[in-house]
Amino acid sequence: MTVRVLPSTAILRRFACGALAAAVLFFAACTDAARDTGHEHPDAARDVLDDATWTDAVLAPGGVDADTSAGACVGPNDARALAAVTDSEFEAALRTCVMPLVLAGAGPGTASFVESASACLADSVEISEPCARCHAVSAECWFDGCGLTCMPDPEAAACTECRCGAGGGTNCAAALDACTGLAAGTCG
Amino acid sequence: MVRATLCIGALAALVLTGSDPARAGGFDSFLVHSARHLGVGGAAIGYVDDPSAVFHNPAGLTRSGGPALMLEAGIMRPSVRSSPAPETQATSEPMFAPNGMLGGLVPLGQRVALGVAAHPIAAAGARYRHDGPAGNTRDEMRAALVEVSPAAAVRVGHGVSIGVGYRVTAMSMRRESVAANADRPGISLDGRGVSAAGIRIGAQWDVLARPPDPRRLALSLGVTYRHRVGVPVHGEGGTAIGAPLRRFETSFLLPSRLGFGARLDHRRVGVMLDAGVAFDGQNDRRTIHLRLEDGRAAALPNVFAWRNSAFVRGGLELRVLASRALALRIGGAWDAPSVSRRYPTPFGPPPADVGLATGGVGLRRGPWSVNAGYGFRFGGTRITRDDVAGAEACAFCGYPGRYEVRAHLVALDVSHTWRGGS
Repeated sequence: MTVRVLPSTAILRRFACGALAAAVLFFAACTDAARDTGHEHPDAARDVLDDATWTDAVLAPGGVDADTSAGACVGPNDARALAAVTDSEFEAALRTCVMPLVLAGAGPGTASFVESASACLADSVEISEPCARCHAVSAECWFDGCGLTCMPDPEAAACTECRCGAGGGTNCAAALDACTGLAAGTCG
Repeated sequence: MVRATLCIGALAALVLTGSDPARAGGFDSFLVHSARHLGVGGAAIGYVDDPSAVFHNPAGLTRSGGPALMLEAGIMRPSVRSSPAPETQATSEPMFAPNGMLGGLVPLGQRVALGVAAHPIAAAGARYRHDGPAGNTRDEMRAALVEVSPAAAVRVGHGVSIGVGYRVTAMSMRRESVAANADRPGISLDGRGVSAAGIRIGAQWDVLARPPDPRRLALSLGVTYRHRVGVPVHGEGGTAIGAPLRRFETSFLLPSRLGFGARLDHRRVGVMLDAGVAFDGQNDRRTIHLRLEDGRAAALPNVFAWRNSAFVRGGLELRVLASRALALRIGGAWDAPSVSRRYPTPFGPPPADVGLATGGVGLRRGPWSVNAGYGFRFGGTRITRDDVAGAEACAFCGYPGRYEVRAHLVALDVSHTWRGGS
């Protein structure tokens, strides 16, 4: 039942604090714009998920973040917010946002899931909504394809493999990396 | 008495260090039987002498003056305040839960007595309507365990009696959560199950037997042990994680309890006290095994992580009128927290000390005895983000916020004893 889509935050933080630091100034303006435009089409990413064009969709104009083509989570505010939380804290926040939706019948695959989950995550971790949406869409991606595999034990190797597209499924982890702009390398 | 104590001790040791590594979870909200004992905080282990001995301490069956029948009817009105969803403080909808007991006992000669009783033994649940992350949501859980228990007791001499009861435990549970705008519940489980593997044993000792002159002291002691019971529960249909189910299977655990009791009588006053340990730490974690409609299997983890806890119950009884026919009672009880602060539940007791304040009155007239009791249960605490930090995924757990229980208990019992019976 655990929704754990964030790759190693240690790696993520290294990107946020290291390689991405140089891009902070460049993306500063973009992030603010992304916050304003990111939630205009909350269902866009989900609608195309089944067509395996999810990554393109969330990065396309009108998708998750029209202005941050390098990724939705590379802005200075997101970098700062992500650096401020630990791996487990982020996982807990995501789980806290997703679990009640799943239990109430408003989980992945329903009309309001991405919007509700990303709004909750953006609020609790204080990241931009486009960045939060990457994680919400990713949660929907792996829940759809790997939910049954991952529920008993999110830490299991079988779960990680499933999320990485083993067996011909969608590589949710790679899609998340592409969306956030933070290559975490979870799938090796 | 020594032999009886050894037997109980050996069995308790076997249970507590047993080889069964099963880890299970469940509910165990203590229910008080009967109205007479509710008036004194639920204390009964050391002196119970009516058919409710089947529940409190089967050794007490030998203390009845003759064959007896007892009917208890009660009602609980609990109100639970909790955080069933993130950033959501909610109070459960008003509900009434029935409680009661039907029991009887028959002495066989001077030394042996048989008894049987049917009664609820534990219950938990609440129904919320809240505006959580999914919007207006109905969130409900209820679980009830009922037991039918035949028991036997024997006087072994020197004022000592020992007893044993066999317990058949039935459970029903329902869990449902659905947002107003959802097509179907995210979770909807409705299951039932029965276990016929429970036992309860106990002993009583009349240290100072009540003599004909009531002005002299009388003292009785008791000990009782209830073995844990795992009840397998299953149901057909329903939904879980938003997917339609073919069936589900799980189990609930009623933990072991070990209690000691004493009663001291002098003139018109009786003082009674029970204390013991609830081995709620047996409620660790468990899994709900799901078989989806399309045939796939899945498992839903649930975490309890409860801990062992102590309880104390005590009261005072004052007998008035010339014939001592009228009894006035007052009592109280305290249960140490057993629910984990990391995994609080919106549907059970709060992870806090829970108190019980009680009072009651009883009237004896010939073979008839009528008792009425009232109790108010209360307790609460605030769960913070730090409390739940690092928690595993848990399908039935709550979120940081205020957890509180307030419950009114009212009970009435009527019993008839054919004194001078065989």
